[in-house]
Amino acid sequence: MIANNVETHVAQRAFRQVLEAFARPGTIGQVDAFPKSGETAPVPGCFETAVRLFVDQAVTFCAVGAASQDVARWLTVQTHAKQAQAQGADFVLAPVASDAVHAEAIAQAKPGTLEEPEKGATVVLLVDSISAAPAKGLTRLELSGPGIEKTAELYVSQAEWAHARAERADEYPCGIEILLVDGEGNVAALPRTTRIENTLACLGGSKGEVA
Amino acid sequence: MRQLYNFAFFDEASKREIRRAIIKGVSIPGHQIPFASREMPIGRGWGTGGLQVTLALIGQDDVLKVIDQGADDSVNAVNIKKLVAETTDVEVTEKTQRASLIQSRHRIPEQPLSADQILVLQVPMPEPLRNFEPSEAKTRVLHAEADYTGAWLGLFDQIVRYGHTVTNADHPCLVEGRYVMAPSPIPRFDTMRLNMAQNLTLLGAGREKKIYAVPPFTHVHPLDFEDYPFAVESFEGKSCRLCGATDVYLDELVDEETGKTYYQCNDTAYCQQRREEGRNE
Repeated sequence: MIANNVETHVAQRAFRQVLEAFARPGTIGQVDAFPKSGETAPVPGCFETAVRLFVDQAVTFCAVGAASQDVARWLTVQTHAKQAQAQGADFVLAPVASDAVHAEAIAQAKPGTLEEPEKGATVVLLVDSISAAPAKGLTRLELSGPGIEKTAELYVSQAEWAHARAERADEYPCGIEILLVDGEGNVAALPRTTRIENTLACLGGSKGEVA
Repeated sequence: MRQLYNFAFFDEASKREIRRAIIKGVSIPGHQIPFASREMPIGRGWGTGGLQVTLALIGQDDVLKVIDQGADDSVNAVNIKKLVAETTDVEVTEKTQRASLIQSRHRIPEQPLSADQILVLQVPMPEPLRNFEPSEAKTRVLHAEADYTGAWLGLFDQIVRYGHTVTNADHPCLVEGRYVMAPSPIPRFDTMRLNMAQNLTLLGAGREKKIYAVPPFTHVHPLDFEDYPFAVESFEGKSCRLCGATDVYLDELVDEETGKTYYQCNDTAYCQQRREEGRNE
């Protein structure tokens, strides 16, 4: 006899989408909100799903940005996860689609050590839009590395995090993982092995060539 | 009274622990991620690492295949399949191309895997440096410093003694130019199937509490020397007695009545499929 809890299946499907996104950077997955999400959450339902897939009482987290206090309090109640300073947290969450908040989260996240590179943080960023095709206001990222046969493309509404990531200059195998989530439930991921080249804003975007 | 199980046996916290390790494993190809390995209803060393990975992955739409040394119907494979099927109700199959999840012990299927399949390998000894360094703390430092002298010397020693490397299975590999990895006891014949593969491969060691991964399109190169290049098992001049295949990994068997040696496909599903298709050349 199997207890079929709806949340179990939402989480399982979301995990496979996120895993696929990490295994093949540039692939865009789709995660759903939990059925009861939105009643109390100060973040979009799909962002909640992406976070609660991994964050529980066995790990620490830090929320950065304007509403970080509310988000931290809510997440503690939901998951019993412990809060930590951004520099020490296993998961660093940026629940605001803001370049400044993204850069802050990326800059502070811990890289792990050469002996324990897996202690490097996972950073979850909320962005306005993730797309596989160019569109006005999106920045094109060209990706290469493990999981990608030659190169892959990804288009995102905020890309300042890519610069912040480059500025960290982590020495592999140390580094951070980045999970991007938009309000529609699209997810994309960049493991530390992914190289980002030719960052270029699409026509009509607010920025010119930025790298 | 029948026990009511959560879907996929585990509680959700256990799944999260394993899922976190899987994501870090994929992000650092070939690096062993420690995880809080769970007690399973099968003995440690009987595939608990692979089983835990499978249970953390599996969903209602998956089709599961479990193989043990190439066979779908050996005791270990059958029991793991039963446990997963009874706690998930997913469809099980013996056909490699129908499966979305393939848990395997000691083989990679002959049929090339596709991008929408995940291979889960059971690993008894995840540490390729354990033979000469018993301390986990010290092997961690060796990996940190990419000091693989011991791994190279091990192979060099075999060449000096026997004239060639004698790793029949579990030949150490360099993953993406950084980590030396135990590919689990797959024969050398299968090792190159990990290199630039279409599919994701996840490796789980339950007793040793490690999970690691080879993402798709990742460089996996068996350790070898320029003058002693890596070579796979040779079955030259031999073929499967049932399906006639020549380009596959063969088991050597002895006919008990006549005492004659014969060969048969190790991958039983592949052999079966070839016979169904009437290929008996």
